[in-house]
Amino acid sequence: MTESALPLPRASAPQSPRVGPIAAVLAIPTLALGLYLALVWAPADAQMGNIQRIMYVHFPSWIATALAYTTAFVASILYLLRRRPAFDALALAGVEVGAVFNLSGILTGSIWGRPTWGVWWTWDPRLTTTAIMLIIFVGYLLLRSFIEDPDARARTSAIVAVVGFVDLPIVYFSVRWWRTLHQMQSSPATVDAHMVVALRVMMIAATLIAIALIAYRYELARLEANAEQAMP
Amino acid sequence: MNDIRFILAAYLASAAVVGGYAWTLMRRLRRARR
Repeated sequence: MTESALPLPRASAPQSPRVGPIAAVLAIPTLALGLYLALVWAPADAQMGNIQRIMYVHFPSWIATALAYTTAFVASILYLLRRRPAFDALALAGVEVGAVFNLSGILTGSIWGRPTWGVWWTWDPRLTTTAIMLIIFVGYLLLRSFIEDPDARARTSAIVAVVGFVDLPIVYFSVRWWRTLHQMQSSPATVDAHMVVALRVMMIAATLIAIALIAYRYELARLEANAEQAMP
Repeated sequence: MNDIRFILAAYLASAAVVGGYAWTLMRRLRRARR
């Protein structure tokens, strides 16, 4: 075999293009099953009644948010250490998908808040920290559009993502550190087993959707970076 | 009845945000792949 017959290294080519389709295909039946379990199979809550079924879409939104922002955080650290464009693309994908689920979490929470708390929104520590988190990462996306030089853009946005990620543990612990209207984390031990199963299936569905979206956004970011490099 | 309206609103809001994003992402990706 001659050397020229070996495949050429394609450092900037999109990696793992199969992750997206596999996660997307698995997400569809999981989501269908999850919706059935959440809306039909699981019992109504003893105190809140059926309105508690919003939990099955609200909480998984936050699981997907945490997964996506954590991906962006790790990728940003790796970018700062190794300076490889692939990590910048993964960070961008994580932030964008994270912001989408962040918004979904806030909206579903707000719609749940109106019938249970009597208000659509309140400046409660948990709600405020989630809103700050969304503003930080939307700011990250805006910042990227302002910086033309790809290296400077990747470096600056990686720093913003790492610093911005500090808000995620604050969101998690906000209900423990301060007096909040929002409830503390529930324990599966104190929740009806049917509700736990329905919630777990919806969490898996949200995770698969987030993985699929991150993988597709990553591929798009790599294609955009290649097109940017090819421009005169 | 009122509960159903709120439940529906929450599920549709989430589907609109995530589904809308997925839809535009796939359109952008299809264009970029060409």
